Amino acid sequence: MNVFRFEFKQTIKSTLSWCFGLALLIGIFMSFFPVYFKEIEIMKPIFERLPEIVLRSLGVHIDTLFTALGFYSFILMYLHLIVSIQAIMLGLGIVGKEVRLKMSDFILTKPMSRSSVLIQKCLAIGAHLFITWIFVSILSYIMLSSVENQTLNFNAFLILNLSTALIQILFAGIGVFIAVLLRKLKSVVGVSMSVVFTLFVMNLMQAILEEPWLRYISPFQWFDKNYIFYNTSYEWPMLGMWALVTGVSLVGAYVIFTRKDIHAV
Amino acid sequence: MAVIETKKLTKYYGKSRGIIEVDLTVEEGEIFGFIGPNGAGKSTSIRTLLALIHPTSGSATIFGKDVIMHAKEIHQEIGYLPSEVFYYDNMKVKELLNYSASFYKKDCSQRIKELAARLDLDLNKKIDDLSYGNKKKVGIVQGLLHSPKLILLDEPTSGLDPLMQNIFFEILAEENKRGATVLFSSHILSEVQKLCHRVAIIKEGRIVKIDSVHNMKEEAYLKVGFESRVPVDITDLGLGKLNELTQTGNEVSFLYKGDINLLMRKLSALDLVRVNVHEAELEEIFLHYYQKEA
Repeated sequence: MNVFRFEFKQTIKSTLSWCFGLALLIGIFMSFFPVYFKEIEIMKPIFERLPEIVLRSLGVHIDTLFTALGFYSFILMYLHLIVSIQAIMLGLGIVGKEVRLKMSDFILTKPMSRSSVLIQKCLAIGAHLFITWIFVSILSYIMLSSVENQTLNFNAFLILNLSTALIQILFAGIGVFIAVLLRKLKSVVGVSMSVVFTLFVMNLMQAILEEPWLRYISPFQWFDKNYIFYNTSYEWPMLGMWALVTGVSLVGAYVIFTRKDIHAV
Repeated sequence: MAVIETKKLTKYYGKSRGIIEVDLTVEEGEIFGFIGPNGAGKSTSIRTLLALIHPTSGSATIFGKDVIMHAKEIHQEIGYLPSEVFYYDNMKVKELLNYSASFYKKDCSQRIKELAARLDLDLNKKIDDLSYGNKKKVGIVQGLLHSPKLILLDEPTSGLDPLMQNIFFEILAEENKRGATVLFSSHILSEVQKLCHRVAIIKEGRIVKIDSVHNMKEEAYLKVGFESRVPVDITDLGLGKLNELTQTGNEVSFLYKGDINLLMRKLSALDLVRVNVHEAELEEIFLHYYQKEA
């Protein structure tokens, strides 16, 4: 497990920074909630006067916005955006590390099978995602239970929060898949940002256009917070899309990585 | 016993040629040179042996095992040094070497220290702060730290100063004495001449000649160059077929193989300004392998 240990150690500082950033986001947003909950009589009409389209693209649902969990599911849209950037960067950065640094020869001439190199790297990615997710979950739970006036619907919280993990796994998978396809990788940040923002813009477009088919290719729509909030469940077709894309990315990455020619740089 | 054996090893990159039907046998304990110009297929051959690329057809074995199927076991006993070395960001030499050593089933710490001392390499420096030559040294230590049975070197000397090159060759010779087999690719014949027992010459993807360095030199070509006062028609001299013949104005040079007395008699009949006859270097003998046929 030397590759796992190496990759884990190399990235742990960065993961802790991401956790810190996410803590700020959750902390600041959630600390708004009590203030704004107190002013509910003033706030609600303001939101009601906003055009429908603005609300949709912001991910705001007025019915749910004035409960702590509803408010949390609103934050979740931005939380998902951030964890997806982190996850794709982890996938691309860890699996694509040797491509970026022109070091494929180094790692692949060692006495270790390609599949085990890839698996250990993916486990390291998984470990970083898990640390981030656990951190976000615990922090969110603490924040939520401290601001929620009624009893917290734990199941709804859990399932909302699990969607964060699913988004992480999905984007890490996409990152891994892109990493094995590339022969050169200049900037992990550049590639990650373009993928995430393309998909995020698609999400906004879908919110505005409301084309049903657009939802299927817009991963940020696969976990509709409002649906989850009311049904305490995911939408099965969207969960199917998630499984399909994640599965194809990871299996595809495995097949390509174990068979591809490594060219001289 | 053959350490490396390839049978009709062929690699095409799409339609473009890598190597074609390469048959190569490297015996245990040999230092084997692999020579050819850039793009001839040296790297392709070595990278196929390392399972970095997959052959289109044909097969290759190392220690009697298929290079693709048994890559993991084979790599346990292989040391590899690529022509260009690259490393992880922000790491100390020591950390990189320890990571490299962690892949092998033996304790390499002593050997790392020995090699670093020989090459005058500071293990506590950050790799990013090293000069190109020093990074190359890290590569050498990295390739040899597990005392491999087979050492594969792909144009290893680029970027090493002559002093370091000598030390490096000394280390390779010692490794070889210890029992390691060495396969060494280069486009510089003189360094191959210095170190190798046998040489294969590769041109446009095919092996054109395999022979011992000794035999190749035995072929005893003479490099002849002269300048005459009046133009000479070299075919009139009656020296037979001459290799590498060049004639510019009154200056003539060629490779000669045959009776030296005949050569001297013919030359003495000319009105010469200057003459130069010496034993040809491998480089000069095999220049004609390098040049593309018209």
